[in-house]
Amino acid sequence: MSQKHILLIDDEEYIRTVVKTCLVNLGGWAVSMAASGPEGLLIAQQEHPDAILLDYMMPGMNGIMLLRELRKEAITQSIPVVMLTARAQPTDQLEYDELEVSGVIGKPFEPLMLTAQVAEILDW
Amino acid sequence: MVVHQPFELIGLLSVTGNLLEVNQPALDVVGAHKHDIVGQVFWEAPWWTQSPDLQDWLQTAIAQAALGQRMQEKVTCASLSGISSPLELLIKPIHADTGQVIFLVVEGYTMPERESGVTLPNLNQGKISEIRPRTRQLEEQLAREQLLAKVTQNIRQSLDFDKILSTTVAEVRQVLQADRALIFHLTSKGSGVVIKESVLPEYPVTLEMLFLDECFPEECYEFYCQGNPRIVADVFKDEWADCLAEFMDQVGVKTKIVAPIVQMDAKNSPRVWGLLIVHSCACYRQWQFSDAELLQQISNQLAIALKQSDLYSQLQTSETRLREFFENAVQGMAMLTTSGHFMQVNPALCQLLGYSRSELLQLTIQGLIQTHDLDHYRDSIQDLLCDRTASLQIETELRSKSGTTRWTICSASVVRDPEGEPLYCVVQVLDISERHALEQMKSEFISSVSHELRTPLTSIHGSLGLLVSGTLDDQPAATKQMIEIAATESERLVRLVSDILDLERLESHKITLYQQWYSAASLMQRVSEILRLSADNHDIHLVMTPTSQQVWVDEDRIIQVLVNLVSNAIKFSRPGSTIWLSVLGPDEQALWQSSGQQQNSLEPALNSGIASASQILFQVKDQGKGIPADQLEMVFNRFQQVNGSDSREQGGTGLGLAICRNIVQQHGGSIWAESQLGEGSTFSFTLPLSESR
Repeated sequence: MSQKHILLIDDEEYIRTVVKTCLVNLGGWAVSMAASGPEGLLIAQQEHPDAILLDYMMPGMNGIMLLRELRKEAITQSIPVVMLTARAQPTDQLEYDELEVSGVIGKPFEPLMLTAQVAEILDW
Repeated sequence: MVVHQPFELIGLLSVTGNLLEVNQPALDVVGAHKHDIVGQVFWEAPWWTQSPDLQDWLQTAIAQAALGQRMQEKVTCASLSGISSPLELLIKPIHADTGQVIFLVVEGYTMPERESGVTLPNLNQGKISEIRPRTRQLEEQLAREQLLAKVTQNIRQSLDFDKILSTTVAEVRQVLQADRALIFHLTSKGSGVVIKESVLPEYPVTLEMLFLDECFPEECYEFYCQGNPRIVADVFKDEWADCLAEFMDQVGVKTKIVAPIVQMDAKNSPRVWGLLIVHSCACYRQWQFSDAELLQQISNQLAIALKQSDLYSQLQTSETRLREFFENAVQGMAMLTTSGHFMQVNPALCQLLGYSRSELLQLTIQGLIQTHDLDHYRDSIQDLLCDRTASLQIETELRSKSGTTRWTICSASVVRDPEGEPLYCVVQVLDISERHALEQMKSEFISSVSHELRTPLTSIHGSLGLLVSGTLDDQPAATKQMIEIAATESERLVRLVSDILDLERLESHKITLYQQWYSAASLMQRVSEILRLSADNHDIHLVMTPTSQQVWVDEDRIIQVLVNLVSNAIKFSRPGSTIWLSVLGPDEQALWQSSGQQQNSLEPALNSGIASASQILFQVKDQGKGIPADQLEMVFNRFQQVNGSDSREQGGTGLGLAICRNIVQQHGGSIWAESQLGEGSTFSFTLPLSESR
């Protein structure tokens, strides 16, 4: 079984660090990181990760806007996406459904459970 | 041989055929008593009982006479003796001035029977002399009845008491053929003033004469309180001289009738409001009891009119008060029919909804309720109308004329008739738009704050969770990293919570500014001390151009603003760059202005109409990344992040500029930003120089 590769996109540096530490140590996955929507798009196109862990609230291009871009491109269309966000508006789910988000994990997350949750959503 | 006794029948009927008056001979013929017959309908009277056909004809004839047609017919009349007499019957309508028929006069004359061959003495001739005075009598009586009817009608139709009094005195004088008729208004027992008068031109005018003495004795007053009129056959020999004899002489009175106008006071005992008086001046006219009776009847009607007038003005006052209350109420109010149509609306409601009164009166309330609230409204109204609840209170969105939504609380209750059926609804509409907007702002604030708080918490919770689990026990570098993250983010959380509270307190004005005169130079010195280390660490060169200008400020708060602006500048600047902190008093500003330098910085201040003579200008200029033009205003809002900035990574809370703005504005100044992308930004704020704002 080849190692799973996750692309983590979040504008907060510390959160990126903590999440990466979780995923690497508890999941044994390879983790790429991006600090913004445009950067994330670029890396997704270049590296074809197995999945994307995506923050919603980012300045400029936010998570949803990035997702639309991902779904437009053939290369990135089928990459499964899991939202990792502090945002919890009731209307968000409509957007997620429309853009075929695989699942949503809320912040703050349980560091010891994060990996299991992601795996369950992605059926790994 | 039977001899007919000729007789005539003279009677007075109402327009409905009721017998009001009839002469004695006619009564004698059938052996009837007046009090038995008066009031009956004429066709059921004893003269006609033997002939139902005649009765029918009479009924019809009377109806036609009531419409103004003179009826004449030969009829037969019953009598005690059992013999019927032929009668020539006339029914004549009597008209009022308006042309309406008010009475009918019935005249019946017997015709001698030719067949018998006996020539009877023509007794009719002799009767004529009897008939005439009787007719005159009846005509006079008729005139009086008419007068009374007219006065009563006036009273019923008019609430103008003054006018009623005026017309009454004139007509009374005329009908009774008196020389003077007047109304005397008692202001206290015995004293009063003549308020109305109708007098023949040859006699003195008594109108508005005041009588201040105790004019008549207690017994006289008591007599009047009973509602009794008084005929004074000789004013100079009056036992109860209710006016000085000399005065009577002056105005030429010889005999008079006094009819009191009696009212019930609050304790329900009678008091004399005034007197209706007729005078005979030309001669010692012998007033009849019927004259006095008539005068009293009219006085009684005037008493009714007086009461009506009182009630009416009480009602008007009450109505005016209620109306004023309704019109001036701050809350919107309306009366609605049970189907929701606006019956009455007050100005407050019109203003709330943006409709004019006439526009609103054409609408229904359900037409103004936003669709999603309609069902709730309908259910509530049903409960109210069916008496399941006594009143209802619902929060509902109403659509104004311009289409905007007004959030309101509508309170309604039902007014019912004596049987309990709903008549109409009374509604108060309280505008809670402002409250609602505030609540929305609050909930938005709460959701944005909780989002902001979650971010550092995520890092703290994540890093500590990993550490506690022992996952990183064999990774010292990672362990250290996690600890540092937890520590840094905790600090950030502390600052964030502190800023949130600070801003909240500033905005709800719970903070009082303690303002004093400070030198701008000393303030800048403090700022320099606070940020020296940070500037050195970032390799930033801080340049200050102080001035000895004095400023009227809350020291701590203004330093807070300056520190905030300068530390932002440090965060945004590249290492090795410079930050300028400057203060310009009015003189320097004028200098700059005239020299054409630094125009960009000053223009917004000058353009926004701030007189530079009374302001001091602070500026923080950096050489950092700059801010896009479309975000220059937004940066002062809460939790705003400039695109691609790393201010958050530097531990910013996102509230710093919002706090600065609040403090500057509370000092009476303005704050703004200018920037060139890639070259740098300048944050400026003004403060007024004077102590008052």
